[in-house]
Amino acid sequence: MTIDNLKSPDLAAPGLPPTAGAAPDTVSRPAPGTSDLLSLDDLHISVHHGAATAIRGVSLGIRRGEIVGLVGESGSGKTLTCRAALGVLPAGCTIDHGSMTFAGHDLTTLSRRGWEEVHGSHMGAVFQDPASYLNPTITVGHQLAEVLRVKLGLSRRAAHQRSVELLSAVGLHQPEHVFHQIPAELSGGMLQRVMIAIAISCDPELLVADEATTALDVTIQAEIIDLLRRLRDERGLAVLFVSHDLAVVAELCDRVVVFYAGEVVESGPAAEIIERPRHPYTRALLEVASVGDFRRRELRVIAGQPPPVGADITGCRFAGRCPVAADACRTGPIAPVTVGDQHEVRCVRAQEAWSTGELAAR
Amino acid sequence: MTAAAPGLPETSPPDTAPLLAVESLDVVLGRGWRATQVLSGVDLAIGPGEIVGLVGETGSGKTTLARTVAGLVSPAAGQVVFEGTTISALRRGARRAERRRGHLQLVFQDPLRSLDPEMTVDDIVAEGVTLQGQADRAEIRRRVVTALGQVGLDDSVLPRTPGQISGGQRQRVSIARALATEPRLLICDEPVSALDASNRNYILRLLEQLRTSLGLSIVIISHDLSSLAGIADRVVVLYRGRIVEDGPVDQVFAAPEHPYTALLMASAPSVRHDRELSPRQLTRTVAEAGELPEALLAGLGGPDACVFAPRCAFAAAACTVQPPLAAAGEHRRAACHRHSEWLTLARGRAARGQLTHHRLTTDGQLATEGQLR
Repeated sequence: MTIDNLKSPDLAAPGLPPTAGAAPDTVSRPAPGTSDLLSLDDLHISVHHGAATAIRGVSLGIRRGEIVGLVGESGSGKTLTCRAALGVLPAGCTIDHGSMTFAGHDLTTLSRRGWEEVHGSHMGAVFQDPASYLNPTITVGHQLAEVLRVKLGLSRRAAHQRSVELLSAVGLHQPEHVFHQIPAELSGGMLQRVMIAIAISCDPELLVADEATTALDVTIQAEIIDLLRRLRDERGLAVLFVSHDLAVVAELCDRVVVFYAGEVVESGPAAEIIERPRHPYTRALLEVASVGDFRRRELRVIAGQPPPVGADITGCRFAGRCPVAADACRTGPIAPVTVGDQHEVRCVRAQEAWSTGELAAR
Repeated sequence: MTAAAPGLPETSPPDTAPLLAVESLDVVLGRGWRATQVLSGVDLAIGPGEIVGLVGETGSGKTTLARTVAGLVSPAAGQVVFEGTTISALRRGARRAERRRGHLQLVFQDPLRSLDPEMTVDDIVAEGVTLQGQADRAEIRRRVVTALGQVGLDDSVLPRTPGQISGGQRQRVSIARALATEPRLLICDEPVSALDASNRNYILRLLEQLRTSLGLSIVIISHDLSSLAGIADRVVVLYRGRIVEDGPVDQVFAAPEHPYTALLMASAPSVRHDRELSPRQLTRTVAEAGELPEALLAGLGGPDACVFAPRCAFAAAACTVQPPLAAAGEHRRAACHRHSEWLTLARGRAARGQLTHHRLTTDGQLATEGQLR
């Protein structure tokens, strides 16, 4: 695919108009919810040069202006899925099967030049440890302006002006002052705001936030969650939000996708997943999550360990830890079933009535 | 699991022979123009068999307090008394001997970084016992196996290195390392921050079991209030080097006396949107700061002001002077001039609807429903 292909009208005017200063929220976007912006279908990813399959048949979609949360234990494949979607898989990892499309364009066959065009202009990303992504010796403003000059071809002066606007847009007070500071002079929360400013600097349609709030204090985490929500509201930014904490995902996301051992075990609207989880693993995650309960209580754990990456398991991969596993769970592959509006579950017992009750009582 | 160890009161009153007493502690890090006061007048007592949660944000001095208690940092003023000995006054050999006794142990946040990657689990757990210099080879072996058993690990991990075991197991190894010297007090610095929810709860449960079975006193430094509430007896809230609130965990979380405690609670993520107060109700917005008289605003940001005044939505003229940590109820202390007023004011801020934001409970639900189509 060529770069021009990507710049089709379907992609909705990337970047800013050359006349900087136009409020970013006036950039016209198609109405959210018309079709999937990013769509992964039956994705299989192998790691260690094909020695093990870490992602098995992951399908998920994210619409314009939608915040989708990926949740699961460490090693469940959330991050690998994100990195595949960003085109930055680590060495030794390959996509064996499946398709990835962004605004209707195939990402799996994208060239290096094509990815360069996608990065920043269409997809931005922020990760857990902001300090490690910034050069410690250069002012954050310079690093932000550099992106604008390279990607958008802005002049020095315009890039500076736009950078200050962006720093202000991500909620940094005294943006002119912050512009001239180096990373060591800023707190973790401020650095994460700078990273978000860089990620959204070229006005992408999608922001991938991989454990972006995990290392932050709760007060700062709440502020970053607020900021992401505001960026969605103001700019129609779609966010793929990865976290191992279901409570954080529940705070922010419209839809939740639950990963377990390289598979999506449940996906659906956030409120639906929280109120009526149908997969035993989702229910277990909810029981161990910070429920916002400040009373003395028994802290629950999920018994057992997830299977090793690439383990060959017939049937449900959670069966070994599942309190309600039956013989049918171990006989063959489990297909996802639809149990509600956009609510899918990969569980043979999903239609049975075990799922409610206990959780509601908490 | 029972709420407290049998025979132990739910919260040990701190006035009966505490195991650890920190008195009027000031700590200054750096020298000359770089000197920063990290802790100011910290008073704290930990009773035998008590689990105390120490909460506060980055830079509040939690870790410095732990390091000062362990003798890794010398206080500028005040003292640390442990088992009747003023350990902060010990120097050189005496201090080293005290440390090698191993009655006070630290557990660090990130075991991957705090454990030597080239040592085996066996060597890591045995090191403290060897340094004590009291035990022969067989006794060291017995202590290692016992300590691993206490954290639910078996002999199979002994020959492995930290890189070869899972994150949850690593944190258990670092707890076993601390337990091997048979300590009286365990100070855990963010023991669960690097772990996922299930492993986090496992480690916290483990600490509570150790308190019950070994009669340990445990200080847990954490910023996850919700899981602390599950196991701690008492919670101590630090803000910018000062204790702003201290009390039994159930009382503090049921009705915080300090707005910062309330802010921490309001910021904690929750699967349900059912909080009474939002962070925005508890912090001063930039616009609100602009409406304050300039002299007052300068006073609130001044060096003598209440540490929380620069962020507090309820700061008034009185708050230009740091309030003392005063008794507030039988076992509670709080440092807030407006401890009797701020909750009413916070509710008023919500009711007036001046804060149009989705974090407010009602708006939050509206926004969520709207997006679900």
